[in-house]
Amino acid sequence: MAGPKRSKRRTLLMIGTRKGAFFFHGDPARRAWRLDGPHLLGCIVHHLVLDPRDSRTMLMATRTGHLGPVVMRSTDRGRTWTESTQPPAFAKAPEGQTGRAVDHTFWLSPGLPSQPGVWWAGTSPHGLFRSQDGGVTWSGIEGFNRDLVARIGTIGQDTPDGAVTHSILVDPRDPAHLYVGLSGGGSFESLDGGASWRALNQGVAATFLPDKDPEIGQDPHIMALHPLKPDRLYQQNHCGIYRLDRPGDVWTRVGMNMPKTVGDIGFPLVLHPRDPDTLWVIPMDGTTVWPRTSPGGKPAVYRSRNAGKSWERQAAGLPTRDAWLTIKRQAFDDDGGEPLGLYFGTTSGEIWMSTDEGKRWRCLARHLPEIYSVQAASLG
Amino acid sequence: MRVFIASPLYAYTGGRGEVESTGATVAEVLTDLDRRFPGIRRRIVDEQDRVRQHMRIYVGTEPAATLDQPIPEGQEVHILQSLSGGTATPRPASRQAGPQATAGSSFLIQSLPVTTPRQCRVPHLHFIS
Repeated sequence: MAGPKRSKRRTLLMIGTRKGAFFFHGDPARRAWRLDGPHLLGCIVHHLVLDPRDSRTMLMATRTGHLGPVVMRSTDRGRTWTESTQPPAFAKAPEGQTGRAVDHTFWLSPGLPSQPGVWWAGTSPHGLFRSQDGGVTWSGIEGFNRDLVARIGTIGQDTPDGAVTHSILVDPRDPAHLYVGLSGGGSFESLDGGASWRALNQGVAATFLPDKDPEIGQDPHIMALHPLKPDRLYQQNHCGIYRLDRPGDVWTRVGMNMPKTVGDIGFPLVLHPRDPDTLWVIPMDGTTVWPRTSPGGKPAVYRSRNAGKSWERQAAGLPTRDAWLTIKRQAFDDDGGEPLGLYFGTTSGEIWMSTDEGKRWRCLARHLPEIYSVQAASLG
Repeated sequence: MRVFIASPLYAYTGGRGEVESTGATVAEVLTDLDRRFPGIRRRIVDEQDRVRQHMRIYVGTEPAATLDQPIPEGQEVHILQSLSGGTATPRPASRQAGPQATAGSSFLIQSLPVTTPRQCRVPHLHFIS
């Protein structure tokens, strides 16, 4: 989250959990925090995002275990919520054909500042939707939902949590230039606002497929584009950490430079908003049956300050042993402050934070429900 | 007709578990409910007009097979949700169509029977894992 120097700015943490949403309000020093919540207790909150264009509108992708998915909308920074009148939903199938239904909205991305009211949503099963009215109504992108999904076929459709469309990235120079990540599908690029898509997976391994170097079918866990250098992309993939510098089309596996005993498998990834060469990842155990926990029970964040050429371990303050943390792809974020604040949430309901760019960590909260998403924002 | 509403949908009905509706079929009742309580239908039925996986609709004491199912004059409609996560009070095994439940036991949602209106006169009695 980009933002000016901290000084008197306050920090807002937005936490989406399996049992509702929570907010943490931090003082300018980021030392004292006030908990606000739960909101929508009992609802599964997959993603909770503040609109950086007004710093007041929030969207929440939610459902319950039984009821169908909705997008909730707040225009008062989370105090009150109303439901979208037309949430993401696939087109009705012709008579006699089996149509797809949105299980849940997984990802929300605000549009560019030049497009007020525009939002993007990714769903499970794979789907891409656009809103032009701040999330009140949503329309499907048929070039994605019909054409691209047909190309991908059944790859990744039967994963335990379902295939998810995520990492909807808009080129800050061109609102029609989009990138998107599909779990069990790969990374794709559109130059026409989503009408057509081309695969962007060269160089990315797919060790879980019979063809180890396919055009599509890779498994990006999360992808990010640097706001100051939009031709620089990173992704944390099922098969490692990668960097892509456009106009190149071939990803480089920079995770090969991670310690071999730790590996380069994980879910989340954070970019330094003021330095395109600096990024953080949180490795997990991706061996055998994929425990998805901290390697060896020793959680650590890894930082690179040279675009992935080398990595340094940042674990001061984190548990030194017997801590089997899992951090989901949307549960790691920065606050844009100076120095940069970093925050991650665990599936065991803990929030860990650093106010010195990862040098030292402390636990902000425990005993929350399973954390699905963390977003940090610096507010004036 | 009377329509009994499961408690997760109370946000739409203003906290009421029993509402009035009209319609000759299940589909018409859902349309009428959505007119009275905007948004409620899509929580129960997906965009392909399929009842969502963990929701159930009963006409009287019988599960509705399709949305086209007619509703006889004077019949009640129950909008229920599948149980999950075990039961707080064991129900007699003889009244269960699926695996026997004991206090605190857990079952996969798919393996659980739906509590029918006769088994549970309070349609909003459910336990969410």
